[in-house]
Amino acid sequence: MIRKKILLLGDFSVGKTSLVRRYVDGSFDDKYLTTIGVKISKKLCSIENIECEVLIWDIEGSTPSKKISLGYYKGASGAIFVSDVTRRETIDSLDEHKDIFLSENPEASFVTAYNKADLLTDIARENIELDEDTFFTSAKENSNVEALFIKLVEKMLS
Amino acid sequence: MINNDIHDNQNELLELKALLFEEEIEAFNALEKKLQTLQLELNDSEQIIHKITPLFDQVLLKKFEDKDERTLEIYAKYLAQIINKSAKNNLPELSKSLQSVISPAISKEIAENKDTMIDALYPIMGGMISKYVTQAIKEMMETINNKIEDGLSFNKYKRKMKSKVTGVSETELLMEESSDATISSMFVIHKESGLLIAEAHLEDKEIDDVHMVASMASAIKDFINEWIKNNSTQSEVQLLSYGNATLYIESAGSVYIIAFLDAEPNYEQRKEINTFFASVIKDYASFFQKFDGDDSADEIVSLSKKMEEYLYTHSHTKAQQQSKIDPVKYILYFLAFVLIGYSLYQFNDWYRKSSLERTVYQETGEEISIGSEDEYLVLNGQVASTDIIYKIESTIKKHTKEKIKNNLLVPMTYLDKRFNNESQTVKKSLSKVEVLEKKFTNSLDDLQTKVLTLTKALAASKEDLEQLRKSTTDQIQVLKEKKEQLKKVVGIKDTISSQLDTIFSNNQFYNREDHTLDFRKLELFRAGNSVSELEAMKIVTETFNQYIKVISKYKEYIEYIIIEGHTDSSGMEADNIVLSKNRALAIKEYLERHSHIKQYNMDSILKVEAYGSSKAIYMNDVEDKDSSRRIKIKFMLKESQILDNVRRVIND
Repeated sequence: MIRKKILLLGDFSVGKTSLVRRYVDGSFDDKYLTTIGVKISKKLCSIENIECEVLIWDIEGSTPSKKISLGYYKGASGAIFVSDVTRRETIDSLDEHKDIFLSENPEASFVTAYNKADLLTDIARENIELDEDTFFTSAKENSNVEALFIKLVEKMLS
Repeated sequence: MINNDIHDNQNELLELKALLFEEEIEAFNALEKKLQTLQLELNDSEQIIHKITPLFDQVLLKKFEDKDERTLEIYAKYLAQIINKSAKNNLPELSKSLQSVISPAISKEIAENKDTMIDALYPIMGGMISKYVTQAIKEMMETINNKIEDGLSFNKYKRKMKSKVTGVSETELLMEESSDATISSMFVIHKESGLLIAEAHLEDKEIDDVHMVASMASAIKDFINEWIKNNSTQSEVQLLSYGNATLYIESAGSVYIIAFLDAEPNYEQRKEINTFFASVIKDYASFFQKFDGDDSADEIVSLSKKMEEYLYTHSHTKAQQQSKIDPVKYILYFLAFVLIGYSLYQFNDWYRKSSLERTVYQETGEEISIGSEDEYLVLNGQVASTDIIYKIESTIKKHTKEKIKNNLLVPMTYLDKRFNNESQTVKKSLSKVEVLEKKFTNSLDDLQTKVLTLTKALAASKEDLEQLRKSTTDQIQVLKEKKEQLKKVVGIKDTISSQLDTIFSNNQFYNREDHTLDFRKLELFRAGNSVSELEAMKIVTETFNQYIKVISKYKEYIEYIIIEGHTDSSGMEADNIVLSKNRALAIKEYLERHSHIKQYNMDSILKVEAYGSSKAIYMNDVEDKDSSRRIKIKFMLKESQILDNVRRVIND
């Protein structure tokens, strides 16, 4: 079996932990997130008969007073960048997260989640352009959560 | 004139001024008055401050509200100086003043913005905590070091030597000695990704979700390393402990190893794990560098096996080490035990001898010393007299059963005096002995004479005695013979009875109880008749002959041979008596004619006795009439004859 480390990155309160909770088979208690800034979960995926277990590092959103340890970024094969679609600044900061991640893992794959999409109106949704690696997701309505992860795994294994 | 003109012109000019500049002049006058007032105020600083301060306040407030950097910078500078100066001049007062303002403000801020305050304080508090923890550990180590210095155990020197050789401080070695850890699991983890490459566990020590645990351990390690780095320390975290669980982490190249233990590993264990880890790195370095998360590689299988073997070997070795007995320790314990035992023995010996010395002093007033030699108590010293020596000996014997070697001395002056006294006594005794000897010699002569006389008398007595013995022996023989005769006479009845019992042992007409002939089973007579049956009479005769043959041997002691006649209970008893008598007489007559009684000359003592039915025979309360009609024959001894014979034997 193949195992890969992936990261969930994004600002505070964009719904990273909720996405993980929706998706995973098993995880550590949420208290680790507030203690050391990361929570590990796992999920077994099967893509075209290839089994891959992803170890998901749900990394706490950074603040000016509390920077994330770069050690967490190392050795990741992929990342999911999460933003809150209702908060513009969380979408704007995605590039910064991507830059940091790719500086540590230049060959890694990634996908992007515009989370809390259930709060968007249809008109607003139509006005946002998406590429093939970006998804509207809703942990609340379990929308596109699995597709998001599967896409990332596909990219990592390709 | 001219002067007057000038004067007039000036007046006119003034009038003209007054007319033209009336308002200005008033204003000027007013200004002049104000100027005078200002001049007065300028000289009064209090007035100036009173006027200017509100303006300054307004300006300063405006600058603070606008967060004017220059203003803040100046104020920060002077505020710091002011506080410093106040602190130097009167620190308690300053603290009191600041406390009353700052404390409520901080409390309020913490209550309202907890997270912000923690973020702000963490860098300071973290450093402080680290500093105090470091200080506490340092103090603890110093305490342990002091204890090491104070220790007297063999281990102290062993530890000191080990510390010199290995370069590890005694404190660490001491802490390591107290640990005894077992490695239950071992992980090899990819350093960058935190992915688990290989794992091994002891039996029943498997860990659930190993890959998540490996990742989490990796994250914790990164978190702590990051913190250490922020604190300008070059080292990496090596030990993580929580409760009884300890993770020992050793890092190298692209991987690190985590050993899960039940206690902190000691120096030797760490060295052992590191050696093992070095061998793993050496064998699998290229594989580790290429590791991409695929766990199907053969190297992982062989590495897991190698780790498992190490765990079991280590576990086994530890069990062996635990079972080992440190011989040096036990030898030391033994020696200490022997030393204590010997000391106790010595003390007890000393105490016992001292007690004896005191007792001797109390009872005799003499000071002696008591020692030991082999199994003896040796008495040393000088005493006043030989009598006291014996007294001392008896005193000691009362308190101990040990053998005594007496080395006590007495002064020569005492011995001289004692010798003279003894000589006088001996001389006196000798003269007494001489007198006694003379008396003894005389007595001895008398005694010899008496012995001679006695010897003669004894010889005479011996002859008499021999004769007496011989006579007595003869008498005893006679007595024995008489005793036999007497026995024979007295036991005549038993002798006859015994012989009869033997002869008639199987005869149905012989009664062993009274040694009589009883013909009840032989129907001699029909009822009411005294004529006997012929065949039956023949049997009676034969039986009687045997009977009389025995009795005849003792004829001289037999008074009568009695034939008893008996009937059944039918009819009148008077008739029955007559009938029984007739029956007995009929038998008597028949026996006189047909038996051997005459040949034995005993017919004269044959007589009859009639009993009628008085001795009729009953069986279960029913009379057996055939048996009742019967004849019995018995003998009667001459009691007087026997008594005469006895008397004669005795008289003889």
